[in-house]
Amino acid sequence: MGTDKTDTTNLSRREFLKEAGIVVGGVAIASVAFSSACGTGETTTSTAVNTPLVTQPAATEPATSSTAATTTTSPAVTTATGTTSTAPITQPAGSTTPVTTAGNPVNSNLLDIPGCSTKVAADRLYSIDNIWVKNLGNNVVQLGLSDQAQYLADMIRVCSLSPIGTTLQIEQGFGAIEADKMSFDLITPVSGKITARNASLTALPVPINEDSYGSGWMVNVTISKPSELDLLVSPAYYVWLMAGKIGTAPPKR
Amino acid sequence: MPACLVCHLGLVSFPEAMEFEHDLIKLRFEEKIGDVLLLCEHPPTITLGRSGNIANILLPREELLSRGIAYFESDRAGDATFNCPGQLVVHPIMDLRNRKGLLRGYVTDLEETVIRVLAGFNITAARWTEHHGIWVNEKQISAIGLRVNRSISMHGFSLNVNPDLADFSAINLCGLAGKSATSIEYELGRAVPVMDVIPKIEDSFSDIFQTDLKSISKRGLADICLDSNSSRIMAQCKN
Repeated sequence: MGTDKTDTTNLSRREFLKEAGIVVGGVAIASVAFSSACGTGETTTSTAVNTPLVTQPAATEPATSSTAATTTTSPAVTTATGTTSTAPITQPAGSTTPVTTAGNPVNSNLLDIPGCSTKVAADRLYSIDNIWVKNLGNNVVQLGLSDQAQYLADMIRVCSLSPIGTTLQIEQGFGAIEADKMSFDLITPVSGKITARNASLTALPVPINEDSYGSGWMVNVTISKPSELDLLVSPAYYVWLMAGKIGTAPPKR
Repeated sequence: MPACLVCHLGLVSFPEAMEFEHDLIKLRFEEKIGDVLLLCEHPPTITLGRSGNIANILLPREELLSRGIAYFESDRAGDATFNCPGQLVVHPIMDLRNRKGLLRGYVTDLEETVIRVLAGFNITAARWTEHHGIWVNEKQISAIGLRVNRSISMHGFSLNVNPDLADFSAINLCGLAGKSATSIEYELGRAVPVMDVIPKIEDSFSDIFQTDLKSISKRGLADICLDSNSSRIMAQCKN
């Protein structure tokens, strides 16, 4: 922004970012919004090291609709062998944390962000609005807030989530979190219908800070447009974004 | 330094200010406009933040109406706040993706902006860890409450210049029972026009956020909102 000489009038945001050289592979990138955790020396409160792939929500609201998928009451039960992430899991350059591969459960599936204390879960995709998207299969995805975003929000006091049955359109809000002085809209990267919600977060949002990739999960969505998953970025790419590496060669998406 | 438009909206209602903000946020996110700093005053208004407690509004609705105090629910963080003439309300519309120092530092920088303005009046003010806002001798002189939507900040902070402090008793300030408000005028014991404070806010903001402020009229800003595809806008707002 500001360095491109192209006439940027009448361009969509996506085109604008492409002209600015920060769109790769058709995916618009939100740039360095949340690279601020890097280099601060502060430790994230997220218990990142051994986040298991199998997650069990503390309290889940069952779907009331008779058409709800069977995954609604146990939305987060996945196993390492059965991971359905759409992103191939590869060893990202520079990472010192072992990465899981299908059929090979490991102690950690978290990627380091160079110079940062926060982590990126390797078994899911990410949106430019810092929402992670975990594919649970059968057109159901789970959404939550990335470790980076929770760190930058600081202590989250309030979490509100749209109710089960809410129809979402991509890039609309599905809730909000509130820290001491800022509230943040949670932006859905997918269209669909909410089929499960982590109700415990509304009473006690602490898991968002302490276990953003596990018990801090937020909603499950039965997606209506699977092609929207193509707009998400891989864990390695998200690491690259969070490390503020725009201007250098990005990893393969 | 990157440029930021600054616009003095004058005395505007809360809904009118919000309308400007929402239009500008959309334009900012689409990168059709640069950062914008809005300054305004509101008629007597109580706003309640997203997770605010209605019980912190201490007067019944009928009495608010009889006193000419408007009430609105807001999508910002925080609890109840009171706005009125003599209180500057500052709304930075900023793309936080451009800030290397980041989200956590953004709030700190806004607070520092206020603290430096007050220091310019020889008023010693400070953050209070347990409570929102900026305080002078345990009285609140500035409130802060923000909303971040897709990395664009909105809402901001207020600064009491010369308001009628008696009206602040209509609420528990930021949800804090028993706390009272103060102002620059009260602390100095002399009249302080709002117009004297505005340049100091601009200077402090410009220095802390390392941005060049370019003035734009309310009419000019309204034209931008109406005509977001104009090449004139990009020339005016480009960094």
